[in-house]
Amino acid sequence: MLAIFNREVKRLLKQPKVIFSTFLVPCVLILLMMWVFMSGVLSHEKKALAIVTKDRAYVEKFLAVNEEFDGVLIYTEETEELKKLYDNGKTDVMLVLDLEEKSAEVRYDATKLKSGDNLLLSQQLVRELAMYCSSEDLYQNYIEQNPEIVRLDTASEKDIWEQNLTSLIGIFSMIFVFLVGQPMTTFSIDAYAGEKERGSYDSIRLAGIDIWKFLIGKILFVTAIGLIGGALQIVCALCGLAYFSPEMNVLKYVGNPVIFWSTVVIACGISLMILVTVMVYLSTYFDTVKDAGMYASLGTIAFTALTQISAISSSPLWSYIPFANLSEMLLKSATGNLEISKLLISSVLGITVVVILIFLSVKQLEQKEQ
Amino acid sequence: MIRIENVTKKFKDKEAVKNLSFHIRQGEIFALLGPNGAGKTTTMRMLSTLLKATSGDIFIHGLDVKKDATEIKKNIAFLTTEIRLDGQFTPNELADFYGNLYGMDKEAIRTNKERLFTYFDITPIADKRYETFSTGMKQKTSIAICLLHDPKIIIFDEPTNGLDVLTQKQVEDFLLMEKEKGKTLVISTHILEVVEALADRVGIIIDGKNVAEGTIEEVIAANEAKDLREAFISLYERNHEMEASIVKESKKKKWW
Repeated sequence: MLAIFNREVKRLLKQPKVIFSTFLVPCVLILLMMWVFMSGVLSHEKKALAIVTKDRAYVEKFLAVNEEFDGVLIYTEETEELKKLYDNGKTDVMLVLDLEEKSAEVRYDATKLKSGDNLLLSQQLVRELAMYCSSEDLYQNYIEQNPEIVRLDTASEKDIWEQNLTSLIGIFSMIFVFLVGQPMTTFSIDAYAGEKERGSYDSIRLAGIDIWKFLIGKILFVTAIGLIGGALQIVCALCGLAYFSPEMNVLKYVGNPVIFWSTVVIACGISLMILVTVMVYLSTYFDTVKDAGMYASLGTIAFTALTQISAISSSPLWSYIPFANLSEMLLKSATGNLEISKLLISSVLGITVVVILIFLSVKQLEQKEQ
Repeated sequence: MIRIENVTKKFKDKEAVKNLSFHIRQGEIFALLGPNGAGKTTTMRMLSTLLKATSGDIFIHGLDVKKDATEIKKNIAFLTTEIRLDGQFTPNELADFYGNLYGMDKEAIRTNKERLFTYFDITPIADKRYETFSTGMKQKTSIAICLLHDPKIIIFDEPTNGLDVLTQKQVEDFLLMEKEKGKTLVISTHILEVVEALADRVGIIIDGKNVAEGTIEEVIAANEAKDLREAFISLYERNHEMEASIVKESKKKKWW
């Protein structure tokens, strides 16, 4: 088993092109994705704003120094035209402001804006206006009328972080499938089909190695390089985050780093082993990489679909299924809400699946020798 | 001693080997002769434990290939043109890897590697990748690697196929040397010159059936032929025709 593992490591080291495409390219892609992610998804989109106020001049001066809003319309009263714009979604936020009365009301359609956005936006807008007008009362009145703002005011950084982490981990499973899973699929289908195609499988079998030792040696190798590749990508993602958005320290609020990173290794490791053993099992049905590759692609689609179905499904069953529950596990472990029993059940389930698949792969290869 | 007794091998819709029986003595070179598709490679794969017979028994030194495959593998070498080595590795690396799988210690690997690499002129290229070698060098490296564990039985399917005359001679001489050491060799070929140069006894398979077995002289005499070639053709014409007529008859019966 160790001889197979060592041989695979040596074989990999002899192929710089494979190392480049397996390790380097995904890391570069991760950095690019972090760049796009940080400048796109996490940054607030400029919102179209309409302000109803009699203090037009004051507000105009304020808006001249504020870059958060796009296409601001100012009305002295709520006209029919404004109502239509708001109803048609041409205006995202409507602010009714009376500086004399020191009152502010922010209206928005909660279904159109992201949950954190509407609170943040209104709080930010009123707070800045209050500061601009040097009117602490304006802000205080607003808070009194909108008690949920108090929570945001005291924990806004954590809320922003949780929202960002949810988004980050949400795309993590997709990254996992494509940047870690996809290259590992190529290695996995090579386990038997590749050896058979090259004509080296029979010579290895003739040297006296048992089928199960051969397969486990291969599975361990692919899982190990998958974990190394995944670790490199996580490092790149964190570096990218630190570089493109140094003010946003994602790991700052991780409740227990030991539990979080242990969950990352366990959940990702078991998910990877399932993916690898499924692909190895598929490869035992074929004698060429080309044939096995086609079915492996279908397998990858199935895995991607699984993560998406689990994300939209309300059934609690998904939270026990390894691979499908990856995002949930990581998010819960980061926010300190991880249920250890769920992780254990999911891990035992995953290992059982892996053992069954290895057994079936051995049987399939034995069948081929009949 | 190898005993093949009433062995039949069926694939999905084809019977590749039919009720085959041979006895191969220790220390002899036994040549399995037959036209393309006769069942030679299937027979050799069964001998080497890579394939299991549908029915019948194969015993190698008293061990059953079905039950004692692991033990048998320690004592046999099997080489066919279908079996290749991983092209990424050098002969030195391949020797270390396969030696490790055979369970040999480092000293045994080093000694046997040195002996075989020297004989087959591999030493100067022992650190170059196998995939960069010529056909002849690849074949010689494959032979050296599969004989690394010094097996008692050597099974070669088309050992000199595609080799130039000089390499062919080198391989043939090596096989004779191994025979001198008391090893048993089973070779399969359709090149009659190779058979005449090497074999002590021959077995002829046509359409998966054993149609002749004995020394070259015995086979020639039994078929009242001038040489092995004529005896082989005579056997082929008689047995293949018979096979063809049986197939025709069975198809006819099925139709009605």
